[in-house]
Amino acid sequence: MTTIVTTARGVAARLRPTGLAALALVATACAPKSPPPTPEAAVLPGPFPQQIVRTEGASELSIPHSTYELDNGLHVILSEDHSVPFVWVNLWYRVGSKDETEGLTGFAHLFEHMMFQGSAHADGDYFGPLQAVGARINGTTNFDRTNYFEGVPAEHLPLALFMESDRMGWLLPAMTDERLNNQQEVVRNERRQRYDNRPYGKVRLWLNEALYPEGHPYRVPTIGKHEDIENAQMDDVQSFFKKWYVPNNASLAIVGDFEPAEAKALVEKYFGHIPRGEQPVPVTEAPASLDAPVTLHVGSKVPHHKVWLAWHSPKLYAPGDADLDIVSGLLSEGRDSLLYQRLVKETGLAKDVAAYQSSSYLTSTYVITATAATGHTTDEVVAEIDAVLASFLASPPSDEAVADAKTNWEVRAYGGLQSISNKANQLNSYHVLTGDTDYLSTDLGRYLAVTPDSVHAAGNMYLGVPGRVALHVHPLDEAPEGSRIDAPAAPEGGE
Amino acid sequence: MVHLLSPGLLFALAVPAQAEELPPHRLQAPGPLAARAFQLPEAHTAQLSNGVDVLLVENHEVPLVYVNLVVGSGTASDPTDREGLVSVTLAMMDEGAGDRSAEQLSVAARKLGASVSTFSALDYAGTSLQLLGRNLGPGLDLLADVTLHPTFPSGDWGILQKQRIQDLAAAKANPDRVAARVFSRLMHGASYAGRHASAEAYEAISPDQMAAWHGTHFRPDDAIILVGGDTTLDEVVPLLEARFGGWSVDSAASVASDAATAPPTHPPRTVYLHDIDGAAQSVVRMGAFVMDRQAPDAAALFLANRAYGGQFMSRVNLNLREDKGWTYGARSGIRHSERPDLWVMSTSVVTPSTGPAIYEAFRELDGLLDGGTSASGEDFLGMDQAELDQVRDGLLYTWPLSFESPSFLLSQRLQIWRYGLPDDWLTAYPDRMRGVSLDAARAAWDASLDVDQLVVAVVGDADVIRPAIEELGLTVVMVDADGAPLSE
Repeated sequence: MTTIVTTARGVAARLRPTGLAALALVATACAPKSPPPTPEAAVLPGPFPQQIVRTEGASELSIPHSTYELDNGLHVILSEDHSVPFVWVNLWYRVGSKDETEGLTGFAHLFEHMMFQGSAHADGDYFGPLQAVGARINGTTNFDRTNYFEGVPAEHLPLALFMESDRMGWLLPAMTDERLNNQQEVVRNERRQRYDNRPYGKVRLWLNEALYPEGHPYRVPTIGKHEDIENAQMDDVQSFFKKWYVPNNASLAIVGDFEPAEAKALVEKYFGHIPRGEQPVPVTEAPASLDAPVTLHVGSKVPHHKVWLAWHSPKLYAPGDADLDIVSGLLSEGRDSLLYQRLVKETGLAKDVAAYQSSSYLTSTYVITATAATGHTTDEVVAEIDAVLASFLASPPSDEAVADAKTNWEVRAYGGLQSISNKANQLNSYHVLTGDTDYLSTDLGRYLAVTPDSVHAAGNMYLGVPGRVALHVHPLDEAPEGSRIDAPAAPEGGE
Repeated sequence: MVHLLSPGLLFALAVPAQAEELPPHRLQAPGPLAARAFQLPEAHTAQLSNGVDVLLVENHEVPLVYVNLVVGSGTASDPTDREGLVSVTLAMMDEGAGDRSAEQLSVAARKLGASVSTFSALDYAGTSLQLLGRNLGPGLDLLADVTLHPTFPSGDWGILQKQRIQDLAAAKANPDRVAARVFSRLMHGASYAGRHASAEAYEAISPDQMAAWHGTHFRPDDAIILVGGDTTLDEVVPLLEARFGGWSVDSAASVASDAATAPPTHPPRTVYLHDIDGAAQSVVRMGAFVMDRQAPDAAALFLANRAYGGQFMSRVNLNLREDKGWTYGARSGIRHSERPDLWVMSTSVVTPSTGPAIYEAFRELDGLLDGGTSASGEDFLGMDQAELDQVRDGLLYTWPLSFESPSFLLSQRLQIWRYGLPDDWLTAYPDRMRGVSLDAARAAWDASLDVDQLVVAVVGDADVIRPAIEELGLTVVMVDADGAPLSE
């Protein structure tokens, strides 16, 4: 549930539903959560490849792989999968929008776009040579990290490594003001398309403003503010690249149809002569809390009255994180879930209701959102949600309900292993965020270890507190007096 | 500040030594390793005793199994004045089935690590099961109940009915969804694909009508079962036979094929504009009906389109995004799910550039054949052999990746089954693409797409964008959120 901003238009391979469910237009693909970075964590050697991923019993789940490090500090993960003659190259840099400097919100993502604008020895659109050999290419940025990936036919592994290494080492000679200006406009159009010109599109921006104080790394969502995107300069591109895009701040996963010895030689050949840089220091601590409730009313161009309730929750992988995910299942997954039963079915106050956690590296948020049914108000909806929550938090859930919710997470864990691209991203994610590429079984184990008592405790600790944000969004002409008004700005941009 | 120097020059001055030390393999992109063999995966087939075909694509990487039961009727069979009937019928099938309520179905599925769901498309509809393979039998019990014995409880229908009616307002408030509505209405008129659900239609729908539609259209002589994942025919066929083998046609009514109505005609060079005051972007759709995918030149058209708007490096995306910066992306494609096949170009552009963006998209259409001069004064060329080879090679290189999971192969088999495509439709794909000559690609493009005849729908701020559109010599017709002309 992490906020992701992508470079290429459309759905990233990472999000492609796999399995036959995709055919049925059912979005079920949901891997264990994409996690955040612990840069200081030790690099542990992984086991050598086994033949298959599958083991008897989910707690021993693993993605067979090996890991090593180049002299310049680049971390490398190799995992063979010969199911189709394709190989994925997936590269993570430990820098995200949380590491931006003041006045440059959105820059980590804008920079990601610049990484597709050519490099010294491949001075044209990054997609050009790779798309000619059938590659699937994209990059994404979130609060905590930036990733780049391409799937190429197995025989074109050298080209993919050449391209990735050239922009890691020699991006700046290809950067021009013209290219920067162009991508500033593209990114501002990305923001218009995905946030500004869409009903409720700016909710996350308003929520974060209420959740995080001025200066907190998560206060502004990854896409950034228009004025900051517009103000970025070539100097900023150069200094950001020199600071963050060094091999000792990156992790390279190669997953698919390759020969390990050959891949190792190619990695050394293309990445080995990139000089190690000064070790950058990313933001690793930024707790956030709310002492008192915050209530906001916004009038916007939206069709319905909707409300979002948001609490601070533990950082990804911290105690309580898995418990709160199980809470989401009990509250809002399936027709028997507590919120659906009370808000939609019994009282008819809401058209829909959902509970979910967005877990990130520094801190997370827990959100319950609902659309008021025609004729009802968001205040009525909030009162009913509070009543459901109070009764839920009063005693531990049943053993059976918790056991069933855990089974669901076992299925999700398997679902995340179905595509080669997902496996590559997950290995990098585990390495960068936990320092343990073998974290898969531990990750699933967190869920399998949840008990009714631990759910009860975490629920009360994080959701049974006064500090939370209630954001009510109303149609413009029905917003209560005193609402903040989100009226369309005067047209701008273009020619 | 470094702005007096070009970045390239600056770099050369700053680190002159490094450039000399670069190994030769840094200076030039490498060629390929030896090509690897690709084995097309197999779809295993079986038949239940009542004639229902079963297709299985095995994949044992993870212990999950997917089962879809598909029937050959979809939303195209919505009765007049009951638009939305098929969609809500399917949506209601997992809201109560056999002796289980919606709540009991949810609980039962969760215990099995399963999810049961339903879907509807224009020409087909069905039910799906995804689950831990170790629970395949009990999971199929749920799928069989939902597929064969839905109960359409009126209380749950009351909830869904209210949601659907409230959603109509949401659809009209979202520029992307408005554009889709307006565009489909313009292309298809009142025929099956252009009709929209309304509050009146939802209010007129009853559980009895759902049961009747289900009884008529969920029938074993028009059904196929598609299975993917961690199972075998030996395991799954007996389980399916026990649950679906006794399924019989209980209605004498045959499935009426929806009558094809001629699509509406439009005056040339017309833009249909829906006004959203203050919109940050304009959503643009352009369309034209094109030849059927089985036509001899369909592959030629497909490749020409790929050069125009079918990939990131396409002409229209490079122009509108990577050159002008007017959009996050522009693309075009051919929808086979609509009849006739429909070519669609889509983009969202920053409001003040809407007129110029339409102009550029038009210009690229002709430019694919003849080349031309760009807005910035640079000459560009029409598609040549190198460009055709590039788009074709890219496609053929990517093809094996489609078979990574069973879903692509099974979805292709569904297309073959539903639309009567030849059995070798999938296996002949590489040869169909290789057989396209440059002349054929250019001729197919020329014959299929005429700027003057394109249907153009725009959803955006009329005050700002209308004058620039009219300056292009186009006639603007204002429409409502359903695509119906407004009187001015």
